[in-house]
Amino acid sequence: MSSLQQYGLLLALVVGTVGFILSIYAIARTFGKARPEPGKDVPATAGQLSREPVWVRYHARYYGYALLFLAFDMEMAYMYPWAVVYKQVGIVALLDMGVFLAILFLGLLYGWSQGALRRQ
Amino acid sequence: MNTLIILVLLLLGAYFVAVLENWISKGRFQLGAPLFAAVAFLGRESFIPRKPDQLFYEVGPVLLLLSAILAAAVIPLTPDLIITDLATGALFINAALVYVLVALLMAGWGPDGAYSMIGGWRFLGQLIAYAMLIVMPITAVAMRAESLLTTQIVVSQAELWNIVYQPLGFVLFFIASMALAFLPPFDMMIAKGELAGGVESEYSGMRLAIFRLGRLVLIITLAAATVVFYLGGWQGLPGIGLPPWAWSAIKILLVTAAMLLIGRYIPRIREAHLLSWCWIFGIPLALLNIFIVGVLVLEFP
Amino acid sequence: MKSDRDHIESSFMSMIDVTKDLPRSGDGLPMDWIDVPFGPLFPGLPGGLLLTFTLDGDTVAAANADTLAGNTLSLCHAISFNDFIQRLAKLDPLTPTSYPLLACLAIEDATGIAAETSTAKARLVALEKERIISHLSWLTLFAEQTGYDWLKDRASSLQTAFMQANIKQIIKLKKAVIDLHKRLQHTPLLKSCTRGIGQLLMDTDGGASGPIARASGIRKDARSSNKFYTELGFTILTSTAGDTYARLQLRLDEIKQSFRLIEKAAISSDSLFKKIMLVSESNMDTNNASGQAIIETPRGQARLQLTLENGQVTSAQLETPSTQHLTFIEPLTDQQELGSALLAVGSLDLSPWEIQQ
Repeated sequence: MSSLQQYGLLLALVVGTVGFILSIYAIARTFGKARPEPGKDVPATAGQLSREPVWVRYHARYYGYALLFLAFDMEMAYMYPWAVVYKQVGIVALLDMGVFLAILFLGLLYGWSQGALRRQ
Repeated sequence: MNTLIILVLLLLGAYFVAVLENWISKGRFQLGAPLFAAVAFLGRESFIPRKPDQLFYEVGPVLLLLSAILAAAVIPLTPDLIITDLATGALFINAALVYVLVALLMAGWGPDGAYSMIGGWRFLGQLIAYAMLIVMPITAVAMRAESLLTTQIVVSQAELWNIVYQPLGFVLFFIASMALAFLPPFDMMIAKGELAGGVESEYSGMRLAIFRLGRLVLIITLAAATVVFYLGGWQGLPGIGLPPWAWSAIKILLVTAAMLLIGRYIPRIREAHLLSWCWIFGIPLALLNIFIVGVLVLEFP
Repeated sequence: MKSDRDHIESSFMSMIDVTKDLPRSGDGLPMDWIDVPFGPLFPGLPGGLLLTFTLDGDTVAAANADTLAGNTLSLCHAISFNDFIQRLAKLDPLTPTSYPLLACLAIEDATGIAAETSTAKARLVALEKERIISHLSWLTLFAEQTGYDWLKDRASSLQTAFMQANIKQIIKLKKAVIDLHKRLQHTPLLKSCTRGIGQLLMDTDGGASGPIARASGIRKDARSSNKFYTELGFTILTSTAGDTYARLQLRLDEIKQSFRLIEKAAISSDSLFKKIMLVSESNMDTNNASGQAIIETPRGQARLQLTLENGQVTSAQLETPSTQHLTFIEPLTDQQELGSALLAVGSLDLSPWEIQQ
């Protein structure tokens, strides 16, 4: 299979799955619609009806980790091609990546010392 | 043809996970229980909250199922039984599984409910914790196989399975995949006692069924990925003459059972602990694993 | 040109303008806060507890607690002794023995008729049995909160076993109790997810009683002044850390202690159980009298004061532990992560029924 065909197959898989889900929804629909009753459409709030909108500026307390995560996630993009040719290139590849990772790891240690690795 | 066989097997696998989960949580082995539950879901009302973000709300469960199925598309059960042997297979699994996060964030944000929104954001924190521990061990696996082809990764383990070759990577990957499939003890975004169901709390009827199906497929896919990366895929133990598909099946079922059983016997981990343990211990260990494998690959090719 | 730009800048809402009125979090960031109810029907909390958290992200910025099912023990007319006992039996469905027992003791204190030794012993056994059941029920809720499925199944089945057991059957459950205790000492993650959560450090009791006070190192237990308990070698169990882990351990220890007390009391027959909640109305002092009693319920100390007139109860004041413990919710949950805050509230073991309104 050419890679274009492979991706075509994956696309077909996506379309097929969505179709499967839609047909299941359709079958469920033939059993009848949800009966409109008061209070049913209120989001779950442990038995109380009163509620305010919750779409607000959410305080994610892990933003220290999130910033470090960005750096590491970028680094991973380079590691896959490196991993594939690692054995051919040999010890030089280990040193190259070793230096790169060491610098990144120092960054992690620095972040840790500055209190990035905790709930803010 | 392969595609159909694998999809059917995937559904069977999901059914098996459901039976097993039911067995573990209720203590009764009921082969028919998931079937009855599914039929019951068909007849149940599927009402939507008052002012949802309609797009996010509807797409969430669908995307969860999609990402699990796409990840399964590059996993070989036998040398030939694979939907598509993508040249970037190991990377593709990773890419597809990131959509689990997107699905849960959408499902959490969409309904405008407090419990589900907190659940969705909690999963983002969880991704930041586990993601590196999925990617880094896979890199070490690819280093040994010199390829991202999943079939090639299995072949590379012909002499020695990766669980022996890089046990550290296996442990990290196993834990991280439990976190990715939000299995207990990493189920804080759908926790009953903390968020009354969290992300699941606003879904009902068929939408909830699709969400649950997506999770079951996700579990079986991750178990299959663990088998391919670390347990030698379809390769059997010497001296036991079983066909390759049987080996794959046995290993996947065992890994699934292990994943489901562990959570029953320990309390849920706190998000702050998960994040700090993953970053303070997990990532240095994963880097150490890459280094060890790097030396091993050059010394004992 | 310059004025143009000024105009644009002034009409454009900067981030500072948008956020200047928002409440500040602990780390100084301006964020929106939302009020989220956790009750009356929340899976991880006792039903009937009305808890509302003001959430800043997933952190509790403020807490407000009340009860849906609270009680007011006001008597609008005089009622007979046994009616009064019946009424207290229905006060809190979670502790159906402690409160009628408290009523019996208070009435006996007022009338000056002490119960027979065998009855007193049977009462002791009934109260300790209730303590075991109540602590096991708390363990079930704790397991629900922490997602510890094995414990949930084990504690709830053990609780049912205790509820249905007679004395002989209770003694047979000894191994199960010891095994449960042992298992929880060696559960991974259990310590890390409860250590330091809901920490209550006290020099004086500050109104706390029961396992909450004792887990903070305060030696306060109404049982220690009861001669039947001291005869059986009762000592007050305490811990010092005052956090959820300490409360968990203390309750586990108390289950074992109550079990030993039941064993040592060695009452033979269960028929005693039937009569222990009755006071004889025949030879009572018909004059006006007042009496009071203190009892150590599974949740802490309850006190009842009552006045009698012509053989009937005319007024009664009840102090219950949960009423006091409800006030701890706010300090314990402040700036805690949501899961920890709920765990802290759960560890107080509140009974919404006994909270007085």
